Amino acid sequence: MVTAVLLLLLVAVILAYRGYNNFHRRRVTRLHEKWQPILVDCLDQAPENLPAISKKDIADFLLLWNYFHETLREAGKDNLNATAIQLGLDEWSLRAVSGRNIRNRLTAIQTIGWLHDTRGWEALANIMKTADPVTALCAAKSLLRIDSEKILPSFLELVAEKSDWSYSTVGKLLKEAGADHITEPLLKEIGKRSGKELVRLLRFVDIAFADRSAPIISRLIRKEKNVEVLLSCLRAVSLPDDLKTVRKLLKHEDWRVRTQAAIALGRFGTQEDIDRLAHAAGDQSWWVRFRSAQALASLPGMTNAMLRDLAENHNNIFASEVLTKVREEMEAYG
Amino acid sequence: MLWDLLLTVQWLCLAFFVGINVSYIVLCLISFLALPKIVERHFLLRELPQPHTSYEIPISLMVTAYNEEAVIVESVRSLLQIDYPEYEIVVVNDGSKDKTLEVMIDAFDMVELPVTVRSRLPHKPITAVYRSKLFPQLRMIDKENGGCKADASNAGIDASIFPLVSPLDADTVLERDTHKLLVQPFLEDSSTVAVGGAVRIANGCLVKEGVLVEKGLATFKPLVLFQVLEYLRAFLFVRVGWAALDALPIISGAIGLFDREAVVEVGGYSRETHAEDLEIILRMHLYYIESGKKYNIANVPDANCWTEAPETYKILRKQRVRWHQGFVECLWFNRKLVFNRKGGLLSWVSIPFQFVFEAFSPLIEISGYVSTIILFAFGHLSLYGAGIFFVLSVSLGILLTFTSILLEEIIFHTYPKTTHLLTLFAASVLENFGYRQINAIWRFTGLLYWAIGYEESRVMIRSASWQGQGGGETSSQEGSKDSIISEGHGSKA
Repeated sequence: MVTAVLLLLLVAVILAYRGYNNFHRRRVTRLHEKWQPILVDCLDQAPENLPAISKKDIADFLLLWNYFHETLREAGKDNLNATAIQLGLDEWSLRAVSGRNIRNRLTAIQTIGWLHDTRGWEALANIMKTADPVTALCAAKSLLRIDSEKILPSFLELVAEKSDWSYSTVGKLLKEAGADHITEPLLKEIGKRSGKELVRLLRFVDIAFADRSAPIISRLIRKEKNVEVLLSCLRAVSLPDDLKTVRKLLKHEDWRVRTQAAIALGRFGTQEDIDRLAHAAGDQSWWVRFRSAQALASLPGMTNAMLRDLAENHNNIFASEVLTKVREEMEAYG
Repeated sequence: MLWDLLLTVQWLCLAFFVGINVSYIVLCLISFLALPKIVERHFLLRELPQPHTSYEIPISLMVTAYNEEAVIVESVRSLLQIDYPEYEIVVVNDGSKDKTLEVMIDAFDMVELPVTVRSRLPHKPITAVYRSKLFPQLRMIDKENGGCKADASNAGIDASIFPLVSPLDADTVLERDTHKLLVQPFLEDSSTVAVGGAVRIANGCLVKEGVLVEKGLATFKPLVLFQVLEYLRAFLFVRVGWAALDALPIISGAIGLFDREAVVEVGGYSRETHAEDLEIILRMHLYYIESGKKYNIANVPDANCWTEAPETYKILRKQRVRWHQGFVECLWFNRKLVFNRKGGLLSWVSIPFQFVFEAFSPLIEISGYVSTIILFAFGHLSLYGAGIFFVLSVSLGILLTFTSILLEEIIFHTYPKTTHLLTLFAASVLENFGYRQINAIWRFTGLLYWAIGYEESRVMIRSASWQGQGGGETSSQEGSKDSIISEGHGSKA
């Protein structure tokens, strides 16, 4: 009897939810039909006499409004912001940012960022430091939009320390902030860190201005013993002055370092590296052999005939094999 | 003496019934609390445009194909449309006897390259490597047939170049953002080694050129509807519940994302089992627990893939027998996980649960049915008592299924028409009268096959009829098709 009642109750709840879902979907469709043209008009000129927006529609409206912001370049964004302020959505966002509804909270955090509303600074900075990774990075994004110079030092500290922060999202945020803003604080933070924290920061070094970051990479690659740091540096290294160090690392005891050194030589090595890479093509590690052969193929001035010659005259059978395969691949695919 | 034994069986069944239903109600409550939060966290990722950066982890999508000429081109076309910044597609032609190789070469203008693959995992030799001139991210490797999907998957992992590998079936249809969501646990936790998504049933949906155009239900196909319900229960509350407890025992073989080096570290897929996709997850658990290394195996319930379910009794029977045989086999292979000192909730709750309430449940269920019939026939069981028990077990089963439908409606709202809901309600009731019992017999057969080491033919026919184009029959190596869903089919003992 009890289960029968429960079953009937569940059916009623599911059907009621379906009814609510359908009703909500229709309302969102109507909302979009009404507001999309208004927001499009807003892009050209500041809004006047906007229709009122119902409290129930605010979250859905703000999602649409955020969608406009995400897809626009600079022009029109000020007018969009004026629209939101005229509708009182800045106040709604400031309240929702500390609410319990995750959806509304994330929308509000994002909205405050687009509005450059400094009144939300404290709350967002707090969320960035304490919330779960997704919400924290959402807050970081908004803080960077409000005042990137002010937030970058503490943001980068957290980037180094928080291993659960998605580095894809962090990279996206740093790219959006731009090299102008991030170069100084990022290199400063790199100088303060070591080990895993340093590795996390080095992932983003390519966003900084290369002329500023290259000397730091040079310094690290020469003195570092930590394999993970060396690997990160080898991915970023680009100065001809570092060729000597990279060549030395082609003989490193760790095969991952040797592999990365071969890739680096393929990127900016010279004809002087032919013998060195040909020798590495006979390495005991398959990856070092393969990457060295590929690096040889991409050296300036390297021709198919030269590769054939190297393969045929190599005294190491593994090197001959991998060089032949790389040459054939070049030939087949261009 | 016999009556005492039969009565003991009855008490055992009652204890089993209470145990399994209490467990599922607890899992259901946990997923009710956890699922909305999990899905809401990523809502901006789904709702707003996300510009790609160069910081996403590149992915190798690996499709193993054995005699898949009917579906392989559509399947690859579908993969070429996913929303992910950097990925490659590696098709492994596992010595197909049909024209899988030829249709791929023709459709994608593939040229043969030298074999530059480092073999680190056991598999039959790779005989050729091809690359598309139209889509540079598409490669195909041709290898000698290894007789099982595990062999082909190992070759695919050896041939893949990116750090994350996603093994897929040739007839799997992905949603555009599936991999964008699947990759999140890898970005948020560097100890993540494997991530699973949710499998949905594509029968009744409209799929055109490898893209899911319209979601639907195969309304007049009861067998398919029953499977839809099984998948809802398995993916919406069982896996979410276990994952919330950090004790997820398995992830689906049809949609998963793996750290390639972790797969290599544990020795790749086992060629000795009927359920290599399950076995590798259990082996990963065991390997990391015993080595004391930190690891994470996660579940992303909103990363969906759609796959074809068997529509005929014969194929479904074959699939379920093999699933259960493979399931028990894998648990047995990795039995050291049970009550492992360092294994936490996984070793002390989740894996023992799998043994008792999943692996050996058909034995208890069938014993329950048989003893009930005998006791009733000889007048040792009251009709009233048996009736009450039956009604209670059916109602609880329906209650759990309705709860899954409610979760589905609240979070995903997958089935758009109200008639879909009504159909699911009706199927939830009907599955208790025949289907569940037959399922118990199939699983009992699987258990028996495992016990005696019996090997059924490992080739299965699929129709591919739900594909908008390119339908027709195609056979595939079993294991390459589907994934085990464990979701308490035993609750009706």
